[in-house]
Amino acid sequence: MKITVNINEKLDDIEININCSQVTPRVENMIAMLRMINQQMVVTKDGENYLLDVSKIIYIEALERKTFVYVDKTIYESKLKLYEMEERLCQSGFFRVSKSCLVHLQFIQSIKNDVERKLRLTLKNGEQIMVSRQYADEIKRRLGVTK
Amino acid sequence: MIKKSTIFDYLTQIMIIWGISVLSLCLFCSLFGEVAKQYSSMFQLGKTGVAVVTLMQYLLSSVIITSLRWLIFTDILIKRVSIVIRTVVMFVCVILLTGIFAAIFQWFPIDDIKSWIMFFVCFFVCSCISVVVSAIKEKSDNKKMQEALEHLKGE
Repeated sequence: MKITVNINEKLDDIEININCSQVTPRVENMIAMLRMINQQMVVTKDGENYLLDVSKIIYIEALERKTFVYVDKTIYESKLKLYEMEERLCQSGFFRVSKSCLVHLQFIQSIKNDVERKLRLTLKNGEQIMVSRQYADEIKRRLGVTK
Repeated sequence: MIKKSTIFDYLTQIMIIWGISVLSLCLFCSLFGEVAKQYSSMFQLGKTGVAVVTLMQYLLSSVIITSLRWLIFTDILIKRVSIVIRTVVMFVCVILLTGIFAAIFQWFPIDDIKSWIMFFVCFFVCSCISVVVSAIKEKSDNKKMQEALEHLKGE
């Protein structure tokens, strides 16, 4: 991969152009990482609001009509619904693994097949998350191992 | 894109099991049909072919095996059970099913101990081949996915 930096004093903001022969999953991931820079969201813990870097989120889970955001050893809560989170974060390397869970790609350590075409994800914090069959095909497509 | 299982997935599975079973039966028929027709109703036509009634018996067993597979390898009835235990349960069910079918349809003489020994030997060999092939395929698929994941993450 070749990286070129062009300095133009007339530009007001940073412009990033990606030149490639086709949009591969790797290019999609690069775009997702660029979008994530400085992306933050408001979360709460013990009644206090925090501004959280999206890049630190491991996964997001919906439980009993609440949305929980998992960051290292801390669990925050968000007022956003899971589908709203998905809309905001799907371009930033997050993807749906079940009806109640969104996972951040960068925190997946390993991925394995499980029963009935499900997938088992092991995250960098040691937790394991099952990908339901409905979403396993989409994840395999994004990985480029199936059409 | 969310893909849900349909009745066609179920039918495809039945056809795969049935197709492989019938192909194996045809092969066995052409090789040992004349000798085996004295012992088993499956080879009643000798090496000239497989009877329609035998094909239907195989189809019925394929339907039952696919249904068992669906029950045992999903979380609908059996929850929080490892793949190993599910596989063992599946093997036991298939042995029982084959034994029942052998008795009902006279696939082999059920009062002959040698026939049962041969049945268990064949079943054991086929199961071992099946397990080894599945394990190799699963390992290869997992490796491909892991490499794709690392590539995607840019590692």
